[in-house]
Amino acid sequence: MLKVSVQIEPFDVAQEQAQLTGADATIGAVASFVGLVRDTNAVGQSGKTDVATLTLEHYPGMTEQVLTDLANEALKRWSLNGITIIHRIGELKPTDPIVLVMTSSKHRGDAFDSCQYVMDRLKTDVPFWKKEVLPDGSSRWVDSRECDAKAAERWEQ
Amino acid sequence: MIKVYFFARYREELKTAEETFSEQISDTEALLTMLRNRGEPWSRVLDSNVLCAVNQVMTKGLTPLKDGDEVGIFPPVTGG
Repeated sequence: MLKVSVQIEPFDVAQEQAQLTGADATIGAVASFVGLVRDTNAVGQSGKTDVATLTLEHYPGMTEQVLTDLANEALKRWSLNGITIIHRIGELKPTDPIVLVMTSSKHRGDAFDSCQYVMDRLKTDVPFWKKEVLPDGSSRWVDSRECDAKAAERWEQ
Repeated sequence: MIKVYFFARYREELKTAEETFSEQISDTEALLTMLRNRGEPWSRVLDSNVLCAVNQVMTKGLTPLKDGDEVGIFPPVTGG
């Protein structure tokens, strides 16, 4: 089971898990990561909470392909029963869920590690861009972070 | 013909979402050099962090281009 979705709509974690595992009784572990929109992104250092909305832009076509390649790479590296990757686009607000990565396997190690792998690579390899809109209507593009590149690099073999 | 798409901050600051080139362009570096040679804002906006995808596949370093290729030009990604 491999599911990749780039969508405007919210996702339902329980429903996604039911879909991922189905009636497969060989699955003993499901790991999931949900990313939420924070209210202090580019100005995190000042501690101010001034993000009104976050707009997600992407490269249609390429995004879906890169996410599918990433899911297949995880299936190759770990012993998984299935994987689901959902990323939202469009306008979101603080506290909104923005990304879901869910993996299933016989034992927990494969599910845990592959879930982290996909998130780390997603941060640096998949063509999404965040733009923050402030309460006064001004906006700014979020800069990439050096620590994300480092997190992705450690999976290189 | 080569079709070029710009995304995110680049698209906004260059005020260009897409552009089509009928002339031959040998590779991604030649394309970037040509764009930067237009002067402001191109020379400033297309900084050293620029990423290129050819036919929707991310490239690393100089990548040859041929007729019919689609090139995406964008800043480092910030999803997740």
